[in-house]
Formats: sequence, C-alpha cells, structure tokens
Amino acid sequence: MLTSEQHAAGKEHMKIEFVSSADAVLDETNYREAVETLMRLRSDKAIGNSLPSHAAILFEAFFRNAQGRVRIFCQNLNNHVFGINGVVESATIALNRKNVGIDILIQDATPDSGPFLKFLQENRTNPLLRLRRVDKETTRSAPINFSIMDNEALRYEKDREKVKAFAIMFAPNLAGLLIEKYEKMFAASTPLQIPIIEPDVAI
Amino acid sequence: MVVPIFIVHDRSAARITFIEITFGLNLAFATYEKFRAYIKDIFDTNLDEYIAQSIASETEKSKIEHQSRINALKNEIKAIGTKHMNEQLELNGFMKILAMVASASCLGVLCFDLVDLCGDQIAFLISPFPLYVLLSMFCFWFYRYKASRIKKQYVDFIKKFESDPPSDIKKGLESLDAQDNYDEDNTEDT
Repeated sequence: MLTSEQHAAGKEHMKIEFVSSADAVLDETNYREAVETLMRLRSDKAIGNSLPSHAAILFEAFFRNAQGRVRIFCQNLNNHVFGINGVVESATIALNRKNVGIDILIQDATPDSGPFLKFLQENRTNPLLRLRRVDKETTRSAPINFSIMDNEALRYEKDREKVKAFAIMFAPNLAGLLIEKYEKMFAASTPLQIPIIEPDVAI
Repeated sequence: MVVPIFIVHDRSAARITFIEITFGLNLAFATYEKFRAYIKDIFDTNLDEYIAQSIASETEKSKIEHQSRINALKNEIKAIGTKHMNEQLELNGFMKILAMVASASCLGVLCFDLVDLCGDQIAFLISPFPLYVLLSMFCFWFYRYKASRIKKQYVDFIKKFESDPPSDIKKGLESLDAQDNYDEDNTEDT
C-alpha cells in the first residue's frame, strides 16, 4: 500500500517525466532548425552534438544534404542514433538520389540490430552503400568516432565513452584530413556480410 | 619653357558633378535589388549564425530540470531573429523609396537649375546609401545585443564548449596513426 507521501512523489515524478518529454521534443525541433540554418549558411562554427537525439538529427541532415558521399566511422551503428525513423528515411532518400553514396566503417563484428540494420539488409546489393569492418585490432578498440558529409561537414567524437562530440557544417580542411584517414582505414578493412533475416512466420 | 597651370575652382561645376554622381549612386541603389540584398545578407547571415549557434547549445545532463526554461529562452532568441529579419526588410523597402526620391530630387535640382540656390545642402541627397548601411549596422548590433542578453540567462545551464576542433581532430588522427604503427611493428616482430 502506498503512503500519501509516496503517492505524491509518484505524481510529481510523472509530472516531471511528462514535462521533460515535451521539452525534449521542443529541444529537438530547435536543434534541427539550428543545424539546417548552419548548413544553409555553410557555417564554420562548431556546435555540440553529444546527445543521441542530436546526433540522429545531424545524420538526418547529412543524408538529406549530401551531394556526394557520407562516410561514417563508428562502433556499431548504435540503434539510439541510427534506429530513429528520420535517419533511416533520409538514408533511403539519399540512396535513391543515385549520385549519393554511403560508406560505413564499423568497429564491432555486427551492426546494432534495429531499423537501420533492416535498411542495410534491404540495400545489401546496392553498390552505393558500402559496409565494412576495420581490420586492425587497435583501430577496433579506438575511442574515436567520426563522420563526414561530402568534403564539407563533419561530426567528431573524441571519446565515445565520455559522449562528447561536436559538429561543423563547413570545414573543408578538417573534413579533408578525416577523409584521408578514413580512406586509408576503409582500404584496410573487410566487407561485412549482412545476414538476411527471414520474415516472421505466423504461427 | 614653363607653362603656368591655373586651376579655376568653380564651385557650381563641382556641385553639378557631385549631383551627377549622387544621381547615379541613388539610381543604382534604388534599381539594383541584388546590391541592397547583398548588404542586407551580410547582417542577416551574421545574426542567423549567432542565433543558430545559441539554439544548438546542449543542456548539461545534471541541469536537465531547467530544460523548459532554457527552451523558452531559446524561443525568445528565435523571435529576435525573426524580428530582425522583418525590420531589415522594412528598412530595405524604405531606403529604396528614399533613394528613388533622392535621385528624382537630383534631376529636379539639375532641371530647374537650383544648384546655387540649394548650396551645400545638396550633400543630403547622397544620404540614403550611407544611412542604409548605418541603420542596418545599428539594427544588427541592437538585436545581437538583445540575443546575447537572453543567452546569458541560460549559459550556466548548458555544456561549455571546451573543444578546439582543429587540434582535437589532429590529436585524434595522430593517436590512430600511432596505433596503426604499433600494429605494424608488432606484426613485423611476429
């Protein structure tokens, strides 16, 4: 049996959760607008991009605005970021544009299961989508993660354990440095076979 | 042989030249939309970038309970951006009309031979262009100041941006290279 104090505390907790989810939506809307504005202005100012929801918004913007290639180097395509519907949709749109390619280099043996893995399975024969795993053991355990859109925008995470990342919408020089390293790592990596998941059989 | 050169300073001729230049400048200012838009864009872009950067700041996890207040303040900053944009548009339209009036006045002064009558007051006819630049600057700085005042209210609750992107990236890539070299050395040993 709940005491009146516990009951009140529970109500308060529910209220906070409700308020914070509404605020989170507003925060994401604002963040999305800000990213789009900075991308439109080709801004060279760095912005924080540590939260998974913010990272998802950024990847969405990368896929939507890419003119050439989006390169991603990460641990396992975390479902909290890549599993968001908007990211999967924009990645699909990017591949449908025909002139846009997506290169993914992961550190783990398999990508995180979720909607993005499904997207990878659906596009496993698409030559515009390349998924590989780094070969070197030390690179597999490296804390750095980064992504580059075309030769312009980038997201850089110094240490994924500390969850501190930043993004710049227009930094050709820095993007060039990252692309150079990425291509070296990509060349020294093995293509990853994505297992086909059989459709659920109704019992 | 020395040829004496006399420079006759004809004040009326100088004024007429001034009027002609002023007429051309005002007409160009009133006619070329792109030119006015270029000046407007300089200030718009700067404020837009500042506002977007302010809005993109992330709240510290430990201070997430302030999120609703921070969101409200971010919305206020957004509203400032919209207000600035509208006022710049109005200013742009107003200055276009003023430049048209000024160029028509230049023609009037020349047609009715009012140069001597107006005297040095004709200097005012060139005012729309510098006035536009000055007012645009003032408008930009005013709204930028207002936005920064609002940002100050939530700056304690957001993550301080401590990174230096170029050096962070270079260090990160160097550490990856070092790991690669370590791998290669070990492979050679084995």
